[in-house]
This record gives sequence, structure tokens and C-alpha cells, in this order.
Amino acid sequence: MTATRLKILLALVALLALLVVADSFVTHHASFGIDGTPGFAAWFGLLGAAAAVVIAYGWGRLMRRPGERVDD
Amino acid sequence: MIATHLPVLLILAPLLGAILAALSRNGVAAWLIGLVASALTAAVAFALLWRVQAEGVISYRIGGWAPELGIEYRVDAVNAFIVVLVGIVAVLTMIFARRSVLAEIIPERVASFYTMMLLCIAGLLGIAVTGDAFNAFVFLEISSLSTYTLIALGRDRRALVAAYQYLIVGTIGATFYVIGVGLIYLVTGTLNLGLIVERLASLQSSRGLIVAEAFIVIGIGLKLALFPLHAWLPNAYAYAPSSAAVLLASTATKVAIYLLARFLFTVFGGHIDVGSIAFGSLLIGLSLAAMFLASAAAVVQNDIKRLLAFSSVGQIGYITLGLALANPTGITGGLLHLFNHALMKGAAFMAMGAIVLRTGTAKLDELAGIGRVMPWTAAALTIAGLGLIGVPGTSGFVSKYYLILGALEAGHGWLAILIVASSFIAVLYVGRIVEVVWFREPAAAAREASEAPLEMLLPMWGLAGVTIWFGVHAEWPAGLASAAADTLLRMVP
Amino acid sequence: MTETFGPLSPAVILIVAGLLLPLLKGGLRNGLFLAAPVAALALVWALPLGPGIAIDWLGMQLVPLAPDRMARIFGTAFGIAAVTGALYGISQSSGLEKATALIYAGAAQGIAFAGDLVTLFVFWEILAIGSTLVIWSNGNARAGLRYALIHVLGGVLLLAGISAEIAGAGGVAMHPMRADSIGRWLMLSGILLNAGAFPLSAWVADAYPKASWSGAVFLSAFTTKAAVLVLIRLFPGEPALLWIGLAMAVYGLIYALLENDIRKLLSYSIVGQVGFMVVAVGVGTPLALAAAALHALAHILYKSLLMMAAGSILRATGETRLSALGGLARSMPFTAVAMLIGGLSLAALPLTAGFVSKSAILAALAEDQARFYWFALSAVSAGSFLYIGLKLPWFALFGAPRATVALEPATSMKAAMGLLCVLILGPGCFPGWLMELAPEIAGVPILTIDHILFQILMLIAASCIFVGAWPLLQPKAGFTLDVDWLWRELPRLVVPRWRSNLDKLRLSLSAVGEGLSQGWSAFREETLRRLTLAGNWPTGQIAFWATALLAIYVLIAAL
Repeated sequence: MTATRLKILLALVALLALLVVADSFVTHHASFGIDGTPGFAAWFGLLGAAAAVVIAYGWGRLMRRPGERVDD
Repeated sequence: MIATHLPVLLILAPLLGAILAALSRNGVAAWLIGLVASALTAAVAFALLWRVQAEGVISYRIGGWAPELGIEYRVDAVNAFIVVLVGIVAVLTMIFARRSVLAEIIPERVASFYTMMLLCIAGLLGIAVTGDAFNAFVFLEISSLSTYTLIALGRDRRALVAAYQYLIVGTIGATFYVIGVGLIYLVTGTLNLGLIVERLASLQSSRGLIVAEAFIVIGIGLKLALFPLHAWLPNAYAYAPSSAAVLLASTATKVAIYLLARFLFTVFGGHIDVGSIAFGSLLIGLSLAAMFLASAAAVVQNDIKRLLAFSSVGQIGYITLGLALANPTGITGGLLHLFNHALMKGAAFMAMGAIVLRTGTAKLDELAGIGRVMPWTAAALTIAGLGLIGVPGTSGFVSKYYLILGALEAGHGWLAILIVASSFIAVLYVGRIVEVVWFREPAAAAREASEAPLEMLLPMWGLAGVTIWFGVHAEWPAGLASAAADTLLRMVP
Repeated sequence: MTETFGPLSPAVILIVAGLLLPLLKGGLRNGLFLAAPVAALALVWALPLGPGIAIDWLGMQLVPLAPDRMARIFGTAFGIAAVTGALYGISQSSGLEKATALIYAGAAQGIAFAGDLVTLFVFWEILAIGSTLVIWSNGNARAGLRYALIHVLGGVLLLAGISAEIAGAGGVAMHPMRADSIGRWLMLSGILLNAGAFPLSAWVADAYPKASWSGAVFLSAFTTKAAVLVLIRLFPGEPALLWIGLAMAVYGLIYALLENDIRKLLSYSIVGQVGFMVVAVGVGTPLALAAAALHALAHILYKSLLMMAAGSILRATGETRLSALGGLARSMPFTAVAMLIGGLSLAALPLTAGFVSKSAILAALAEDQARFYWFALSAVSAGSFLYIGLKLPWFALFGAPRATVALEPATSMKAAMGLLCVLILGPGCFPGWLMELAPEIAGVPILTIDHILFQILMLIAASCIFVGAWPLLQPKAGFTLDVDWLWRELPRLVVPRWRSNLDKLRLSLSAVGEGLSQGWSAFREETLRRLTLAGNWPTGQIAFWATALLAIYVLIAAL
């Protein structure tokens, strides 16, 4: 991990934490209960995006082929 | 006063016009006479249609003689329909003809060309209105003889061969027909169609009648280019002068089909079951052969006029198929296709006439990119082509729709599928034209050409326009065809 | 009131203009190319809402022009796409592409306003032909053929379904239904094929990137969204659509994340976003349907913009692979801004149109208590930001330049992109505009503090993952296998193997085979010759046939 990327990552995490704090001060209108808890969007977003990356990476390992398609 | 003489006026107008045109010996005067005579004919035709719709069948006795001795002209929903078609095409062809004739016919023969056109029209109308079997033969000969001359007037030397072949084949056809009529006369002792029907009803043995029917159907089959009796047609249409080809393609075979329908349903209908397995299947088989084989032959032609001619043989297959189905919907589809095909094929041949006028060629490979310089002409050709395929929104779709319904009604689901399948062959030959005309780089012939003159574009677009118009508003022609079908099947008195 | 306009419809204007276009040249052609979409869009709004005109055609009640609110939303979307697409593509030199693009746009309008199944089918086919020609006009015949074949299949499915519907008691009217019979399943699968539904979704990413820089803009707008509209009209609330739509959303996300080519990435993303709409149609409540329609509108806006940006890059550098691009923010600043705005709208950043429509879809799911789909789509939505808002700009716009920019976008292209930016940001800042179009969404909280914060948290969380998992997301040259492998690669693999096994057999049979093939080619030549010369029969042959037929006739009749 390069230094720049680490710095960016830390800055983003700090920003996320700050916003989670802000999130606990606003009133939520939850539809399913859990989605109204403070910081839900943060951890759910982290999980969702991580899942997407992992699944895509795994699928890529399986299905990604180098080169061009023969008939393109 | 005039109203009662309408049926005979219909014949007299072009006949007198022909005589005047022959006497005038002057191209311009002959054309004017032709135009006026055909316009008058068209007007009389529409008046007849209107009267038939209002008052029912019109019977006109020539010279006041009763049918047994004299000749009766009898106009009902069937021939009124045909007469209107011939009238429309005749007048539009005359408008179209002037420029094309100037370019294609040597000046001394222009007057006789118009004479022959008018004679041909008179003959065709005569076949349509007469109620007398032998009189029909006379008119058949008038129209045929003038047709041979018209074809022979073509500039290409092969026109002579084509005319000669048609002469021989046409004569065989006429002979067969007259033999058949003679046999009927032997059996019934009359030539009047109405009386024949009456007397046939009380006839015991039908053996002689079968032979008569065979001779008549094959004789007329030669004239209407029923597959495999079609071989005279492609060369005749391809080498005839352009305007003659328009008239012949739109009317000549169509009137022959009318005559066939008249004999099959009105005359023999009460006696021999047309829908019967024996005859119906023969006619269905020949129709299918035409739909597939003649269309396939169209695909490989290089001369567009020949291509259109083969397409005509194929399309005639759809019409006879409709007749062979022998149920109201099927016959409606057949007659409607007769009408629609005449109009769109007229437009196509007019477009080719204009292209030949401007480029001097009808060869597909020499006409590459012609759409860029003659967009209106090429567009009319394309619309006619779409109609031949039966694309929804064109009149060709409506008539094929009725044919498919008719096939389903008759319980022949496979026929419906074959009708659709054969349309794909039309996609091929029309697609070839469209591809070459629009999407290729202009060839030498195309680069030097220019758009057709307005006087040719107007009648051409008149026909192309109705191809679209009747595709969207099908009520009028479909109503006429349906009334005609009911009359043929005697569902109305 | 509708009668005032007679047979005039947005579809007719565009299709007629498309047909006339090849006849015109130069300025006149470009003028018509621009004017027709503008006129069509104006007519979409001039047509008063109502039941439309019914015409009786061959015994069927056809309603070729039925302006209702759905038609107006989609008509607006298609209209804007056509106007901006034409403005963008005006400098395109291919006349064929321009003409067919107009016909294609007209067919989409025709579907938007179709009030019966027959009209729908006619425009459906015109749509397929138009789009095929747009692809074809860029010269890739094989891809065009694959596209045409798959849409012929779709057309046949739809036709079979419609025929079954008409033959049954259903009639030609468009009415909501369930996929409860074989005929309706056929109809549904025909529509879904056009929507790019999984598993037959591979055609989208196969065909669209084969179009020209301007053609792809048109392609991205019409076919799939027209299918969404038809789903809204015919299958609202169909339960099967829920999981089909979710599968599309997941498929689009995964494949877009893996993709290297910008325009392929955008094509996969189309499938993913249409998946959101299909799920909403599956929910079927009025709010959900309105949300699906608005999402289609928003999606057409931002996906057109993204395709335009991609087209500009292609035109400028001749390249669309992320692995070969970079640093374009400096050399093509205008395009870079457009790409960012489009991408952020897709990721539903507050103050963009995409935020409004995606909020409406999620609100509809919440209202229906579709818990699973709500969480799943929220997660997919967070994932979408990875590829569109982070990966795409990161590798295309920033970093070291790897491709030279030879051509600045033309002014007309910039104007089109600018116009779309305004159209995306405008309704984003003032969601009230969209509520006028679809009043059903009035109760949805959009620009509220908690909702904005929710979305921002989501996006920043995704950014964290992107930066953290950066090495895994490096674009790599190559392609991802898809279902289309079955018909693109499998035959290639199987046939040679099969062939080698057959070779021995063939050797032993070679004598026979040679004889057969000679016989066949002789037969073919003979047939061709016969067909060509079919008109040149000698007269005797005709006479022979006449006599033969006479004999057959008498024989048959006598028997």
C-alpha cells in the first residue's frame, strides 16, 4: 500500500467517522427498523461494496480471459 | 338516357378512340385521343360501379335482342370491380405513356401504338362486361391481337421473338377456350352465361361438361400465366415498350383471372364443386408452385423488368390460391390481391419505365445507386416492392392477411404458413433491388441520369400512394372484393 | 382533442424524417436531423392526455396513439435522448447512421404511445431493424448479425405471445396481466429479451460497443427502456420480475466492475440499472411503477451523457480501454466533467436526477415491505459507485496520460453534453419538477437531511473500500465470459473436435461424398441456370404443359 493511498484512505475513514457522529444527531425515518440506526448506511455501505469487490474478484478469477474474443 | 347505355359506352369509348387515333396518324393527337378516351372509360367505369352498388345487377341487351339470340352485357359486383381497376390503370398509363413512348417508339408508329393500347383496353373491358361466352372470345382476341402488336413494337429485337411466342401461346389458349365454349354450346344450346347456368342445372350427365371445363380453364390459364403456363410472360413484359408493360402487367392477366373466376364459380359452380378435392387441390398445387418457383426465379434475374415479371407470376399464384380456397374470405383475399397487385405492379413498372427512359437500361448491376439521382422514382419502386412482400402498412399486407384467414377458415393451417414463408422469397428479390438502388455507389448509368419528369412521377406516385393508402384504409377495396366474392359464391342474388 | 393532430405522432415525425434523410444533403440533412427530434419532443407535450384514437383495422381495435402519463414520461425521455443524441452526433459523417438513428428513435416513441399489442409489435420490429442498422452502419457485420438474430428471436417470442393473446380471449388491448399461460410467458420473455434480462443479457455489451462514437449514444437510450415501459403496461406486479431484476442488477454490477472497455462497462451498467427498474415493475404498486418510469428517464439522461463522454474519448484518442487511457482530465476537461456528473448521477449522489429516481425506487420497496430486495438493491447501489464514480474516473481521467488526444470534441458535442448536465442537475436540485411528471412520488422523502446523509455515508463507505481494495480493481485487458459463450465459442470448440472424429469416417466415405458434392454442385448450377433462364422456354414446352395439364385435369375430374 503506497503512502498516498494510505493517506487518502485514512482521510476517508476519518470523514466517514465524522459523518456517522453527525448521523446520530438527526431524526431517522426507518422503514425496517435497522436502517434507522445511526451509522447504518456507513457499515452497510462498507459491507455492500466489499461484498461486490470480493464477488467480482472471484468471478473475475474464474471467468476473466485475456485477449480479445475471436469473433469481435 | 346515357345511364342505361353505360355498359356499351364503356366499350365504345376506347373502341372509337382507337379508330380516331388510327385515323389521326399524328402522335400528339393520338395521345390526346387516348387520354380523353381512357378518362371517359374510367368515368363510365366508376359510374357503373356506383349504379351496381345502388341498384344491383345491370343487364344490357345489345340492339335490344333477347339473350337467346342477341348478346347481353351483364355487370354485377364482380365485373364492376374489375372494370374500375382497368379504368384507373388505363387513364394513369395514358398519362405516363407520353414521354416514354416518345423515347421508345419510332415516330411513325406512335399513333398506331396508342391505337393498339386503346384496342387492348376495349378488349379487356369487353371480356369483363360481356355476359356471352363467345362474345368474350371475340374480345379476348381483340385484346390479344393488340397485345401481340404492342409487344412487337418494343425497341429490343428480342421483343419480336417474345411477341411471336406469345402469339402462338395466346392462340393455343384462345383455341382451347373456344373449343370449351363449343362443347358447352353442344350441351346447352346457348352461349349466354346466364342461360348456360340455368340449363346446366337440369343436366343429367356431366361428362361433356368436364372436358369443356378442362379446355376453358387451361385456355384461360394460358392467358393468365398460370404456372407452368407462364413462360411467355417474362419475356413479353421485359421487352414490351415500358408503358405497354405497365398496362399489361396491371390489367391483362387480371381480366383473364376474372374470366376464370366467372367460369369456375358462376358457370360451373352450381354443377362442379370447385372446392372439391379434385380440382381445388390441382389449382392449390399450381398456385403454390407459382408462389415458390416463380418467386425463386425472380430472385436470380438481373433485368429488373424480368424480375418484376417473374414476381407477377408468383403473385398470380396468391390470387389463384385465393380462388382455389373457394370460401368467401379466401376469394375476397384473392380478388383483393388481384386489385392491390395490379396497382403496385403498375407503380413498379412505371418506375422501371422512368428509369429506362433516363438511363436506357433495366439491368440491376448497371443501376447501382440510382436512388441517389432518381430518389422519387426509386422510392416509388421501393414502396411497390414493400407491397409485393406484404409489409404491414401496404395494401399487399391486407390482401395476404385475408388469404391467410381464408386458408385458416378452409382448415389449411399449413397453407397459411406457406403463404408467410413464400413472402420471404419476395423479401429476397425486393431486398436485392433496394440494396443495389439505394446502398451501392452510383454506377456510370446512375451518374448521368436525372429525376424522372413530373408527368411520369405523378401517375407513378398515384399508384404507389394508393398502395400505402389501401394498406392503412383497406375498407373500400376490401368491401368491393368481399361483395364480388359473395356474388361469385351466389351468397347474394 | 387528440384528433386535432390527426395521424401526426412523434413516431411518424421521426420515422418519416429518417426515411427522407438519405434524400437530402449537407446542411438540409443536418437541419432535418436536428429539427425532427425537436418537433417530436414538442409533440409529446402538445398531445393532450386521453384515451387516444381507436381505429378499426381488419376487425381489430387499434390504438396507435394513446397519450397517457406513462407515455408522456417515456416520450419525454426518448425525446430528450433523440434531441441531445442528434445534437451530439451531427458531425457524424455516416448518413446511414443518422437516418436509421431517427427511425430507431421514432420506433421507441411509437412503443411509448402504442395503445394496443399490434401497434406495439410493429414498432417493436422497426426498433429492432433501426438499431441493427445503427450498429451495422459502423461496419461490424458479424456483431450486427448476432444482434439482429437475437432480436429476431425476441420478435418471434413476442409475436407468438401476442398471437396467443389475441387468439385467446385477451384481444389486442394493452392491459395488465400475469404470466399465467404459455402465451403470456412467451410475451414476457420476448419483452425481457429486449430489456437485457439475465440470462440473455450478453447482447447488450456485445453490440453497443460495436457502434460508432455517436451511434452508441442512441443505442444506450431506447431498446431496453422501451422494454421497461412495455413491462410497466403489461406485467406490473409480476412476481417473477423481482428476482429477474435483481439478477440483472447483480450481473450488471459484477461485469461492470470487471470490465476494461469504457463502453462495454457502460453497457453492463445499463443492464444493472434496468434491473432496478424491473424490480420496481415487479413490485407493481403505483409508486413503484412511477419510480420505475422516473428511473428510466433519469437513466436515459445520465447514460446518454456517459456514452457521449465515452464517445468523445473514442473519437479523440481512438481508444476506450481503461488500461490504455489516463490523465484525460487535463487534456479533455469538458468531457471529464461530463463523465463525472453522469457517473455521480448513476451513483445517486444527492442533487442529481439519479438520486431522486433511485430514492423513489427504494421508497417503493420500503412501502411494499420488500425487505430482501430493499437491502439487496441498496448494497448493489453502493457497489455501483465503485465502478462508475471511482474506477471509471480514476483510471480514465487521472493518473499518467497513456493515449494522445488528437481531436477536441466539436462544439455541438459539448453543447449536447452541457445540455444533459443541466437536465441532470436541474431536477436533482428541484425534485418538484419530476413530481409534476409523476405525482405518485410526492410523498417520498428526497432532499431531507437524514436521507442525504444516508446516501453520502454510503458513497464514502464505498470510496473507502475502493481505496482499500485498489489492487483488486485494476482494469485488466481481456474479457469476461458470459452466457453468449454458448453460441459464440462453444460451436468453435465442438465443431473441430467433432470434425476430427468424423475425418476417419469421411475418408472412407470420401468417394461417395465427392460424388455427392459433385452431384450437388451440378444440381445447384443446373437449378440456378434453369431459374435464370426460366422465361426462355421454347414455345413447344408451353404447349406441352398446356396439353399435359389438360390431360391431368380431365383425368382428375373424370375420376
